[in-house]
Amino acid sequence: MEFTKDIFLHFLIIIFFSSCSDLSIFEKEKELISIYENSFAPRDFSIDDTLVVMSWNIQMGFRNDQNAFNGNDVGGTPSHFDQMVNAIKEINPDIIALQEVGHNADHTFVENQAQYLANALKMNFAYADYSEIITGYNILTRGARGHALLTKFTINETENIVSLQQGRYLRRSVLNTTIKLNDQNNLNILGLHFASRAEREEKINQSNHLIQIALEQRNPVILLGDYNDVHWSYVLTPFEENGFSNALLEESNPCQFNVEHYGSIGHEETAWMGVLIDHILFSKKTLNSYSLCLGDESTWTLSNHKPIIGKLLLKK
Amino acid sequence: MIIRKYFLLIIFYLSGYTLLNSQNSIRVSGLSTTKAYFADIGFSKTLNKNFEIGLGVLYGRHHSLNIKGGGLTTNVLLYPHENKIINFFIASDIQFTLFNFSSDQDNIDIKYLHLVGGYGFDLKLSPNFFLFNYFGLGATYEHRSFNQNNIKNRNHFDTAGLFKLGMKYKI
Repeated sequence: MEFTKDIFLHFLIIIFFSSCSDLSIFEKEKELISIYENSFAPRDFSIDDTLVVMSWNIQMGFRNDQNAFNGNDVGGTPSHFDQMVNAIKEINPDIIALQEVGHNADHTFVENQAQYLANALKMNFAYADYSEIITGYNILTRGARGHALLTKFTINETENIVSLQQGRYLRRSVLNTTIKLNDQNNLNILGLHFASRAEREEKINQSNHLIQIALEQRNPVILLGDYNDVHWSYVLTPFEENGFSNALLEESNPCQFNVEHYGSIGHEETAWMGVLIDHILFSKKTLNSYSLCLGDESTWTLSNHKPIIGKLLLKK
Repeated sequence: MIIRKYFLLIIFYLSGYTLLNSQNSIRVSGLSTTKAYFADIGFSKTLNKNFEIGLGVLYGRHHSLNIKGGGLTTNVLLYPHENKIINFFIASDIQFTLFNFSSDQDNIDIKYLHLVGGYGFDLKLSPNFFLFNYFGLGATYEHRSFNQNNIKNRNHFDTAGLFKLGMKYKI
């Protein structure tokens, strides 16, 4: 009798152990966080000033020959982020949208990556989680990846809006940040990242949701991010139909990309075999774009995506 | 280096003491915590029919970072019943582990201190040979230190889990 009781107790403890929230093998949802910090004085801005904006999927600080999620590579080291900081200083952007930014992730050494980059670049920052981390088949890896927005201006408000609910590891959100350029002008930056493994229907829904969010904004809107798709795809064309322009397609663009360029500008690991899948979109009514370029070759090894840099002007 | 020296001293002392006492065991086990998994070689001393204490060295790999590390583990087992083929016990377990990553510019240490309490069993396979297993839950403290000046050392408290499976041989 006592022996049966012991076995029963043993199994009860196993069940308790496996259902404990931190060790649970069952699906759990973590609350998405969104933070911002204005630690630095904003730069002056006048309506004639060019806004240099940049979008970069940094793959949590892993190099382009590494994989952040296979559980075998070691990355996210301070020296790697220092190289990124040096590269970004050369570009000198006013606004940077980063995707796949690690936050308290077990498998990277720098844990609050947005804050680390912002402090090194002396920029204000916002950060928002969108999905949790899994490395290889290790369900015990803790941490999140998300959007970061770094800016030389003051951040007034941030909002983290879920745009694709596809389990905790593939969930996507939009980081909507309101930036104060000066007393008269504000700007909304939408940082986004489409899930590469989402179904067509889910991607279309995500596009429509993003368009709706962008249209609701009273300020000029710039949509920066990793769309995981090409400019002529069903993901991006609805934006153009709703009053948003892709900087890639602007005729005045001095670094005009064409089909011949595509073979060399993307990254090899995407399904698109080297085409451009990171884009800068903006509201046609309120903004003009006159340049879109990639970061120089020194940035190409720092992530499996290349940084994309646009120059925009507010319409008077 | 200092830690390694003390490990060796403790193991040397304990192994000598153990071999002189017939109430002791040598154990080999594998254990997995929420942060890493390890191979564990150690000794146990049976204080009386209810209590057993153990000490072991650990060597293993971090779950999430592809780096190797090692450490020291100590545990206390409480057997609430008489000796049978299967003996259930209550366990408390402490582990200190250290991981290091070095490259040209980075030198990063990650230290963990796990404290867990758990429940498990011994299965007697022969008069001297046992299979044992236990689960534990508790707390972990993590300390990350960097050689760079522009990043602060980080401390974390977190919940911890432990699963241990191994063999024990009574000397």
